[in-house]
Amino acid sequence: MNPPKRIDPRRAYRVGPQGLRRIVLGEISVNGTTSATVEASRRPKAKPLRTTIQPTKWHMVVAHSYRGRLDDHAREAIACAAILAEPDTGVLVVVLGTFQEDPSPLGADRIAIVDDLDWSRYEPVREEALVDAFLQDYCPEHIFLPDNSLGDGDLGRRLLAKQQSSGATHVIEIDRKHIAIVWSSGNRLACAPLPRIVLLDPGAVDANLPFVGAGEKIAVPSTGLASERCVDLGLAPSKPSEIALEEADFIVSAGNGVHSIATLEELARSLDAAVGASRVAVDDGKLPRSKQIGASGKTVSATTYFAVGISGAVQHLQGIKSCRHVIAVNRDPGAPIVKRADLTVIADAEEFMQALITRVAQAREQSELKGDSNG
Amino acid sequence: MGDVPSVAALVSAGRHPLTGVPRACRGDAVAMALGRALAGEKFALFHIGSVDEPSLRDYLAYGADKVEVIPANKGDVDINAVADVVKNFDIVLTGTRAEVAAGSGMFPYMLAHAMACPVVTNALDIRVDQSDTGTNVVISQFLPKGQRRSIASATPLVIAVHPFAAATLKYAHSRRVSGTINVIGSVSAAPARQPSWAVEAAPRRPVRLKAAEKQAGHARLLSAIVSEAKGGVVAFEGTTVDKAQVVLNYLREHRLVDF
Ligand SMILES: Cc1cc2nc3c(=O)[nH]c(=O)nc-3n(C[C@H](O)[C@H](O)[C@H](O)COP(=O)(O)OP(=O)(O)OC[C@H]3O[C@@H](n4cnc5c(N)ncnc54)[C@H](O)[C@@H]3O)c2cc1C
Repeated sequence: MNPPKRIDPRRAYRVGPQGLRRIVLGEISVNGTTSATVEASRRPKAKPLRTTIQPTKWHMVVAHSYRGRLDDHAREAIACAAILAEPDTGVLVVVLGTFQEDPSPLGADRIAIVDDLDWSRYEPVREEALVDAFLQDYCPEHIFLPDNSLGDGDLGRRLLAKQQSSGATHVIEIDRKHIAIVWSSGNRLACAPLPRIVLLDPGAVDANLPFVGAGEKIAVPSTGLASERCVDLGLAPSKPSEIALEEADFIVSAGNGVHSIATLEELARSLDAAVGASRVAVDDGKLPRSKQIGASGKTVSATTYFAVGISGAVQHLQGIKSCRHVIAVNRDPGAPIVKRADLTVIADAEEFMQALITRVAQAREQSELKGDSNG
Repeated sequence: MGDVPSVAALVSAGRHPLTGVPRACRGDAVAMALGRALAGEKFALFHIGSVDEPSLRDYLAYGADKVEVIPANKGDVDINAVADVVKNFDIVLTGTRAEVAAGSGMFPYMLAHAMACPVVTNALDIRVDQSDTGTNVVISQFLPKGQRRSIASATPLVIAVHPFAAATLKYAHSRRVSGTINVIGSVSAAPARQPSWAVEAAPRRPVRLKAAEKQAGHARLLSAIVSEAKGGVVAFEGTTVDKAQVVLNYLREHRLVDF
């Protein structure tokens, strides 16, 4: 007779996000090797190259970087170019501004980084001359840009007006054959064949790629001197307290764990940040309703979000979905915000804020001294 | 001194996005208000399209004395002919995006290209300085992340006004009734450079473009149980001063602060 079938209670497992054991399908544990196989399957596998064929045609992407990186919107444009590329099509990315990251996971085969044309400058004629130089060298089949107000939407439209080729803006749906846009800002779409120049709205493309690009850095062609017809008089950052919370780039936010709003506001001032709050802090009357961030408050898109004494309830996290860097200060290492935050400090809010204010003041002084001795 | 620039504003027919009720396009009405404040008597308002357009009366109500209509069929407008009409103005204002049809935001760019003059978009505020060398227009431009940029330019110039521009719009029914709508010239139709859009009959959500992934079912199941939350660094140890340093290092490493 066959022995009865038994389930091995120690078969291969991994620990899921909730801390629960999950069996690993298709793996049999041999005593002692369980953890090893689990470790191996957990390690991310190296992604394959998108294509190994020498490119004969090109897709081109032009995007401004912000603080040395490309935002999700720009990544989507690059992913779009890579997904729509045939095996013999290369993806050329022109980054306007500094860029330090590895370009291959973005799907870029060749990348040109134009450090001195970042988003803070307004030199439309030089920008166009540079793009023209690439257009001449590569004759790209399609050109993709993120349709944003960082300068790419503007550049794309100037190209469209100048080039006699077809193009579309605010593209919300795209594939190899067609594009679609929202018609009359309603809920119906309008379709057209895929044109040469495409300005993509955010969210049209999934930026996660199962492959990588070659990521080869190339030199930037020199464009000579351009005479601008518009003079850039420079940027004037508006005071964080004056702009809407949705527009702020750095937000220091108070939760129930903050007892002294004055300290928090001082910290915000020292970091040039706007002040936000969780619902509990607002309900307690510590800050006005207009500062509330979350499902029933405002949705913010700051690059840096500093959550002080906030537990990180889902309703609050909804409001900070698109924040790139989240830093949390909390006494409780098990608070849900720890999972969302890129950096969590386990400390008492008041003490920590005081320490940080002092440290920032010192750092500012030092950098001023350095700046003086350099200049 | 005292030489006021002449300003033309080009406005589109607005529609409420949900109900389709004709109304002044908010961004265009703001452009009109800025233009009137700049030029006073030397301001003119144009619309390219039909004289019977119901939303034009709204612009009258918001302060314009008259609207000059350049008759044209929907979509196919000869941009060079429009440029001819407005070429004698120092500043040509437009909105940023039309409310009907594609709303591509291309019009100011096409017009500037046809007029061979620069275009500045997302303008929040416009100031005009008269000097010996000529008229100098200073524009405050909207940028994301709370930044504002100042740009100076000579005339002629096309400016697309951002809907956030500071302008007060006052609606007066008496002006709506007393204002006039004139027809001037005609613009010959030209083949549109815009793609030919086929509007779908039924509303639907756009489909996201996603890379095709060749994955075995087993691998897909695995990826479903791996945690998506990345979870960052947690700083437990040290004094609060050490922890403050950790945060400062993080901010500096990612260049989130400039000191
Ligand atoms: C329909 C609905 C809509 C909602 N909408 C929103 C919304 O829009 N926005 C929003 O924020 N919330 C919203 N909420 C509420 C949300 O569920 C949470 O209750 C709220 O976000 C919690 O706020 P908190 O994190 O500040 O407070 P708590 O949950 O009380 O968390 C306080 C945190 O501070 C820590 N702490 C305490 N003392 C200290 C100290 N001395 N030093 C350091 N850390 C300390 C604690 O460990 C804790 O993690 C909504 C709820 C509902 C039901």
